[in-house]
Amino acid sequence: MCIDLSLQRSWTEEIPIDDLELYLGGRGLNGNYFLEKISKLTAASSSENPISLSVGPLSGSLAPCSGWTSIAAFSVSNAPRYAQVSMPGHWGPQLKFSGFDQLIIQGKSERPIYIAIDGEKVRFKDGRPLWGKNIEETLVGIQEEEGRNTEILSIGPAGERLVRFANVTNGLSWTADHIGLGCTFGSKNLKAIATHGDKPVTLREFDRFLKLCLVLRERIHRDQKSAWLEGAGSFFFLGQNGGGLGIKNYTESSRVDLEERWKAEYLKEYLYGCEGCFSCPIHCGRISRMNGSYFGGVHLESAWSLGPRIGIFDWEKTLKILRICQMQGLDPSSLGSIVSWLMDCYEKRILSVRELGLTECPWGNEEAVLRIIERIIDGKAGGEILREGSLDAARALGMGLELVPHFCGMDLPVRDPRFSVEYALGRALFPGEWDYLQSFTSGTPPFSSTPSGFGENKIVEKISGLEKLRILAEMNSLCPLVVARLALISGFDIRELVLAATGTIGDTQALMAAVYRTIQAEKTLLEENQAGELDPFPARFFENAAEKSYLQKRIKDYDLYKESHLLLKDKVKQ
Amino acid sequence: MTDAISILPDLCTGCQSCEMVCSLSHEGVSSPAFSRIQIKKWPEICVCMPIVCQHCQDPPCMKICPTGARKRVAKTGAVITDANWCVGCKSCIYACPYGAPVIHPDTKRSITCDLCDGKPLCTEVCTAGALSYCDDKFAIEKKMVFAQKIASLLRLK
Repeated sequence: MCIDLSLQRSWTEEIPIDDLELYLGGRGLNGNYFLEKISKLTAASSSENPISLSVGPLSGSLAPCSGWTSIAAFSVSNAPRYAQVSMPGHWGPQLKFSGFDQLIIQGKSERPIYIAIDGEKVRFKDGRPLWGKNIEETLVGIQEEEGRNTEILSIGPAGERLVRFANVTNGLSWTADHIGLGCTFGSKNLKAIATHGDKPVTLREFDRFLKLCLVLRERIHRDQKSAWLEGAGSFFFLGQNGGGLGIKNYTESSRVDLEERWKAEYLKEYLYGCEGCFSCPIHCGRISRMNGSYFGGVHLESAWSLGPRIGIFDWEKTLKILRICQMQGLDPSSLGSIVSWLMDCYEKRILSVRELGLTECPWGNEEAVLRIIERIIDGKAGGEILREGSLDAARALGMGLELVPHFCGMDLPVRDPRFSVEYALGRALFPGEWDYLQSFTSGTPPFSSTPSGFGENKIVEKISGLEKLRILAEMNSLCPLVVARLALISGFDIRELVLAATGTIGDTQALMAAVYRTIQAEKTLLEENQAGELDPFPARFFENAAEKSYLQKRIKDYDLYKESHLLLKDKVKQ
Repeated sequence: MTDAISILPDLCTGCQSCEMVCSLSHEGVSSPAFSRIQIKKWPEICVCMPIVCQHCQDPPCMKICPTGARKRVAKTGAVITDANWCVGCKSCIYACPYGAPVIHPDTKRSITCDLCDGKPLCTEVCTAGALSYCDDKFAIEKKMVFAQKIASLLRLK
């Protein structure tokens, strides 16, 4: 399905069967589309740049954890380039039930609109009554008009006002973060995409597919890791061996006891229930309760970004800020990044009160955070600089650049790279990836029947294998956490499912070739559209002497970590 | 009273696995529209509600059906629609206190849960524990309590 917003026209195009065999779907289809049809970005903020939203052959089926959607665009966040993100939730399956594997949106509408897709019918609806509304008001407004079973992908005021780190949200809980997609939607005057379909997803061998799914779901449900994830959501990663998450802009790192306390308080005082992505047997999404209201979308990354990362250890304050962030359509991680950078600069007296336009900005100050959000949304009183993100704000102000935690222009997730060789190398090998769980790996490379060696000389091989597995998951609309990080679905399982679903694609060699093609397509796109130098981690991650002594106790071979990371940085630059 | 699918809406996470397994096992395709169980969602109050036939002891759908298409299966106690007799008038939908029957998108006739011949697959895939297969004497009472909760939450908004 292709939609041109400038002409307010939609049409369908058959995806060549060769492309489906070569790239499977999801992330692969997106890479192929951009490589074949677009190749070069027109301008970083150009509304003409297309957005591609794709699902894979397992989307909209009983296959466990098959609710993910791959989205690709030329990112407007810090380093403009080809960027892709996987979004959990329910929107992708609805696209599939409408009868489509891919939605391409191009052009720019003259006035605010939202698109309503109902099967093959596409309507361009007046978005002006919704313009300025927050995510919840938008969702309820559209669902009351289009039906309660319609899945909504929308932006909040942040996206409308072109904040560079605005996100898009499916429903109220599932977001596509990190690539500034909300800003791209906003620049196209696109408030939302409402999708609903009744078309059945056909499966080549449905009997076999049903049996495979039932066995796999049972196996996932019985696995201990699922039980942990069901119990504590993504917070279960905390406290086991010390997550090693950055506190106060990475001036400190978390210890086991602090993580345990922080997690326990949430689970005891604020956790209300679970929410699940489409066809997920695990339900790691958390519903929180605070002051009589309920809301979802709380997970480790978002909560830590707006909690300890900015010096707030009070859950009530964190949830309040997170709720505002969700409603405005801001990426919580990038917001945490800029707030923690500002507070760090304030503490070190790099920025004065005058430059900040703020009265005070100490660690953990809720009022300061709320003022910063307000200014970012309004784009006034310093907000016009802050809304560009921490790296560009530091560049614009000409100060505090060395305190910006980023990697290749992307805001760094809350995971402290000093804590894990795997994580640091993963960053270096896959700079375009954004996955704060990169170091929490327990999976095996695709199609390996036994766990790979985990000696120091095997680390790169293992990381590379896991990233391929992740890409394979994203090509099939499966959850990358469940597939690559927790190894609850193996490459063999995916092969069997795809074979039963399509009847044509499913040969191991063909699947791996599709993964390599996708990697190659993305690599070409990245090389052709790289705006600046691939910056490494900020120097502070190698120079903090106080931390080093602590880290040396945690990382067996700190010098090897440092050396190998620097080597790989050079490799990335080449 | 026979066994039926008991619902605990507070535990439903809205994953729709029940819909998928139902449509796949009955129709050979994946689609919520072809499922005999339906999930209704109110995301703004974090509520998901599975809706499925409760196979009432004294089913109003059987009473109102003008052609006698709604019948009880002796083996399982399930109240089902005989597609040979159903004319798609939707009377059963209006009569049902649960809003359970749906119209099949292709045949345009009413479809409801048939308890999968005594082993409902939806209860097997519901890992959240919202669905279970048992003798639920309090189905109506539970539904009323939950309806009141939804009404109360929506009014708060």
